Amino acid sequence: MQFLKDEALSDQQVIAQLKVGQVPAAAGISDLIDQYGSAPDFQHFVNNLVQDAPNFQL
Amino acid sequence: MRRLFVALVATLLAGAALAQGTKTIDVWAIIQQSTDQTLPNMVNDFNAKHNDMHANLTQYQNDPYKQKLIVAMGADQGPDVFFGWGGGTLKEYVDAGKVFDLTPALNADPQWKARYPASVLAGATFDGKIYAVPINNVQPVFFYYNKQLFDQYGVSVPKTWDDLMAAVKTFRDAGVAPIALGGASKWPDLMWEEYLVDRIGGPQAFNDAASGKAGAWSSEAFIKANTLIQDLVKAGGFQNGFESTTQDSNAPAALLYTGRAAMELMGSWEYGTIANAAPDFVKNDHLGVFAFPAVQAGSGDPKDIAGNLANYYSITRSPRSPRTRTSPCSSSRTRR
Repeated sequence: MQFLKDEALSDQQVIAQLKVGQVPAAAGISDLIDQYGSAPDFQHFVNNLVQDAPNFQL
Repeated sequence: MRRLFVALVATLLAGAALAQGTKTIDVWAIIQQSTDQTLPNMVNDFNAKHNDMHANLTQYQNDPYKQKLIVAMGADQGPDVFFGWGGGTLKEYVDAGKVFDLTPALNADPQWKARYPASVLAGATFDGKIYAVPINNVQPVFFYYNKQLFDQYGVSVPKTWDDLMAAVKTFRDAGVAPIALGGASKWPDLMWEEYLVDRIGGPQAFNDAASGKAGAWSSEAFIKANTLIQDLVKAGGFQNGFESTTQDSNAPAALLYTGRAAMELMGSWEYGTIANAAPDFVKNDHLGVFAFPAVQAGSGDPKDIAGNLANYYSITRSPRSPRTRTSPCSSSRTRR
């Protein structure tokens, strides 16, 4: 449990993922994309796709 | 010889640091791309913070991992923490009583729970209980395309299925594979089914199938979706030999960035694969992306997306046994 609590999308992990072009599944990251994103156009495309979708088919 | 001796001593000292009483946590995951450091970073960061616990990460290729996990969980030999995709595959393990319920712990720590959007936790929630937390990126599926090829052949980004079929004809006539597909891996094929069924029949068509409703798999949405897929194959939509191309080989991405295929339908993780393999292709703005096109007369919302919400980590409910590292020689398993 401690492993998940410490590491699963911690602030440090979120920033690390943004820096390598990913869009972490964390709450409220739009501003962080501008701040830390290595591919902000691509990352905003993905983030907007998810935010705007009425349904996410698994 | 001296170097070997020094390395041996260093190894023993490192092992000794994992002294008696140190709890080990076995973590299993897939290799998403050879240079992705997200999962190793998590383990390294955790180990740096804790002297009394030590996480060991073992990574496998995608398809073998799924089989290995099924066998291990069935024999109660699963790891402490396992990687997954949420949804139906996680639910099977939940239904079998193999997954620890994280709900009480998350509710007891609102700051921890607030890290995750409710929509993402929903992918790991069954009967109101949360069985996993996300660990990496949102993973919608969309099209990647080679901008140079689109410019060269005067093709615009397809907005509709008819646009896509017209683009397929243009590229096929020009001797370029219109769409790269890792057909041998099967799951990339299903992305087409997911999107087309949703575009044609909306979410209800799949929900009916998932709930076991009689006749759901032969509903109009499924029939029409599969007819469109057949039309696409007959039109030469995919590269020659797509049936024997695996996704794990990264061949579909290579076809795209080497200019031998114009498009690829794949999840957001493919960006990293392409950026690592062909950094100049990305740096020079030759890589484009667009959402899955609308299907005319379909009742699904063209803004709907398919894919994985994220990857997750879950805790195995009955791992092999509570493990305590008792010997510096009990080294971690080799990571693949």
